[in-house]
Amino acid sequence: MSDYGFKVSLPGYDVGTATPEQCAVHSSYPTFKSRVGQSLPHFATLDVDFTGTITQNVTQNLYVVDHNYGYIPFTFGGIVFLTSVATGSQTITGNGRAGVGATLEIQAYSTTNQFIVSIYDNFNYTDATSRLQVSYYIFAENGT
Amino acid sequence: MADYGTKASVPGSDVSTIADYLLSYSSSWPLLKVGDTGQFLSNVTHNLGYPPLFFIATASGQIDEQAATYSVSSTSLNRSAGVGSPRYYICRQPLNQNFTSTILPGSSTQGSMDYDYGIKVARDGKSAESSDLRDYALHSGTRAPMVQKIDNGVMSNTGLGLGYERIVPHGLPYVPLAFAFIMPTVNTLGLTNNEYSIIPDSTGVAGYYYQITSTSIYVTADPFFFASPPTIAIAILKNPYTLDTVARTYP
Repeated sequence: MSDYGFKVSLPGYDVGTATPEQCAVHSSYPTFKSRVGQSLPHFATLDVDFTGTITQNVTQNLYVVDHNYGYIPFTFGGIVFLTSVATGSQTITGNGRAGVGATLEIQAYSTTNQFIVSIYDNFNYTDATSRLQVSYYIFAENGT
Repeated sequence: MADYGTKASVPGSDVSTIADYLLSYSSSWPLLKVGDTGQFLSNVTHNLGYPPLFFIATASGQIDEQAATYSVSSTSLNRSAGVGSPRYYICRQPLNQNFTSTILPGSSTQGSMDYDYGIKVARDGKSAESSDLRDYALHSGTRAPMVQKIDNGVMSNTGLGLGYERIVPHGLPYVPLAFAFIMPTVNTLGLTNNEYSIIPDSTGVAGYYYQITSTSIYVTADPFFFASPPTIAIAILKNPYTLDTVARTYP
């Protein structure tokens, strides 16, 4: 621990004695950081409008962001999928992964250089009446 | 609330008028601060004296909300089953101490990015000239999770939903990111009693789930699995669930 640093206490706490929990910012305890100003944003909501039935039984990438960190970063990926009318217009949700057994899998995940949103469908959950939203954050912090 | 403090915005936003979620930080609420991280090989002792907010990541970097085999106490992060060595994050944010931040509605209009100014705070022993964002505790060229509210309380036996419910208004003018944790005293789902485990959202999970709406965080649990109402801790972040939209059509 160095003898210098930076901290900002929360209202009502003396910054000289405040614990990390009583600080808004503390240089000994980093926060999760998501880059601003990227050509493909590192935090956004992906909105996929399906135009028809997709190829079945094949995992397909719907969206790829090149983060180029060189390691797998930690991510949030809030998934909301409205299935086709034919399959009952169910809303399928999840964080990072959402699906129905072995018949549907939507993932928002990372490799060492990319953030990827993919879908696997073998029950025709996806057609022109379905819609997918993924609200994601790609952080600089390690995911593995 | 004091009438002084500090705050910084992300590039392109006027710090004096911008909405709170477009700030890099404000002294009125805490950033979500990482106290410890590593790869899980065995139970992790933290000795913080309170149960902290924690995350587990999958091998693909996703937050693992299905990680019911992980739980946290006031002394350690524990795993009751499972294989591998996933990444964990233990935050310096108590799950058992209520907190509510102020809300600054402000403007959501952002100007062009201007990187000629900003604030960077390097971590202990790291250079403020580093190009690696992991070397910074704070960097105004990034967005970070900010804590809006921590709510801790016992569920009510309403007979609605799955039977037990807890509804926590967030008061924000947008649907926020939020995470929920459950601490049962007795259960038949394999959760560790008297410790907090993360709650999955609603799809495909028996016994308990949470949902985020435009007004509140809703948690419900089934008395069939929980003989007495569990305690729920909810962490609401000052970060919108729905952000700038990237539109795509497929196929």
